Amino acid sequence: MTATRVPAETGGTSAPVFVDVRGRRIRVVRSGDPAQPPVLLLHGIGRSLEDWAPQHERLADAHHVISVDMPGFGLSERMPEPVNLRSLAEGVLATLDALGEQRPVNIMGNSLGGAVALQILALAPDRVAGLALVNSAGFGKEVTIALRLLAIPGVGRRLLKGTDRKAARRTERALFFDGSFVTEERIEHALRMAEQPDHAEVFLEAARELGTFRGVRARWRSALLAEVARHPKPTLLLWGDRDLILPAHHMSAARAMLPHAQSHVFADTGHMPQIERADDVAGLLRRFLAAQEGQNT
Amino acid sequence: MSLAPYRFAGKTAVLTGAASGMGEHMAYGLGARGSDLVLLDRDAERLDAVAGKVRRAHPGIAVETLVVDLADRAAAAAAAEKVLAAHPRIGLLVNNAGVALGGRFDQLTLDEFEWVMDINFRAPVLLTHTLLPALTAVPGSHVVNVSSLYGLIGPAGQSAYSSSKFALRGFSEVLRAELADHGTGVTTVHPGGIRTRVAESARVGSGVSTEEVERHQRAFRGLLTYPAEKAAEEILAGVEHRRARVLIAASAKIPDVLARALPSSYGRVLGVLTAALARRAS
Repeated sequence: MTATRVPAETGGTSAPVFVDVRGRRIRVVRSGDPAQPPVLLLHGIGRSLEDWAPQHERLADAHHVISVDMPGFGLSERMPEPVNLRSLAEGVLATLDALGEQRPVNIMGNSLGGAVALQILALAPDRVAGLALVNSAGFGKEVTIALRLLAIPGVGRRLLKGTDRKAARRTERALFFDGSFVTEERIEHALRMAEQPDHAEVFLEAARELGTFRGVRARWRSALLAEVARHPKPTLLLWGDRDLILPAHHMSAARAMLPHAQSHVFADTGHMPQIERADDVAGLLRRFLAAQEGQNT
Repeated sequence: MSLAPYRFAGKTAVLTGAASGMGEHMAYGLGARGSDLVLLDRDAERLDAVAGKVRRAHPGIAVETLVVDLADRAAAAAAAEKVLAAHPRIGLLVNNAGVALGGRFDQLTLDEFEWVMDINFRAPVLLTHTLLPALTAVPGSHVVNVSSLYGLIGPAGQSAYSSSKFALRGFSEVLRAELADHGTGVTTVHPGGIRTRVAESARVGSGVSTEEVERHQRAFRGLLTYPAEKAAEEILAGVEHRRARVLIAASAKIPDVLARALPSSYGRVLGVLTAALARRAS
């Protein structure tokens, strides 16, 4: 099975399709002219490519934009391997292979997607052109109690089993500073993801791999950042200053570890500036990409 | 009633003396925290370099520069009006610019004394007065006045500097009490020996001999050992937490400062003090 080809001339966002990646169904959206420089968009834990939709449509005029439901997340099937940063990074790289995208890509990662982007850089530096990390995991220990609880054996499974409309609304509400972004559409999609057969399993594997009840594990963070520091790439760090999931003060650690990075903090913005400040984020991303491509904005 | 922590992101910060030292590093720190910047200094070239560096590191904020010599009262007033007109809402005003003047009181002219008072005291008063409507328009705004260790003690040889810094401290403490009702915070900063360009830009009283000048400059440079970057971060942390007073490098530096800066007439006191501190340290 191959990806449904999106006509080059469409420009805007196309519908999600499933591609075969090592025998598993991986859900992707790709748009823009495939000849344009590639941009890859990666979502957070328990989330999906929908979290990047506002940027996808804003960047597609000048880029080949690919967003992915990472293996096991969203509506994608999981890979046979245990879910961890390495297997997620390998799954994403295999997805790029399946799509025939072999050029170095600019990877934009939100939350867990940021850590996966860093892991891809560590694994395959030649395939990375640059990184935009948005409220990214990897730079500090503190993380919301909601994720820390999942790391407790027995507790996590019970919590995830109880994903009803009310719980889904509560989760969405924690992601935004402005409650008006919590739409019925987002809640419906969250419930649909929760119905996927491996949803709870993958979520728990990822949560326990990356953290304990006490917070995000230091071991993978320090090992990953040491590896990343060996391959400096153009980097843009973005954070919402009202993030309840990963606090904004992680930005200073991120800046210290990636001193070459550009950065911006958004006022009154939660865990997903790419949705809550869609135009501002798109403006910064376009300038970031244009600078690499040697164009004028 | 205590104020909520100051939130830097998305607010406009006006900063004087932004081209070097603590001001330069506060500009970097404010940019990193997501504040839009209005940077003032008399040194156009250095100011441009600082603004360029902030813009490259933080492409999402607006960075404006204004070249003005705060010793020129008319120019300072015009600059303040210009800032107010362009920015009806200001979150943070940092009165950081300052100059030093070496020499005993009898070795200074009154003009030299007034030069220090104009920059270190009258300019902050003028800027604060003019920009107050823009500051009170922003709930939870904040003002920082950078006084000095010499705003707390008055050593010989610092008549103008110490006078200006005592005056600024008094002004700042009154302002804190008065603005509390508006929900505006005020922090007074007392740096010890921060490594800045204040020594290079210091003037020396016209009655001071050449060897005295050299001795003064040596002493001043020797004092300035605390990194400006660290001092700037401590000030911004003080702003965030709405501290009334931020003492920088002072606790460690007071004996050092006294020993180097006070003339021999205070030697006995110093000797006792230093010995006591040395005993405690050992």
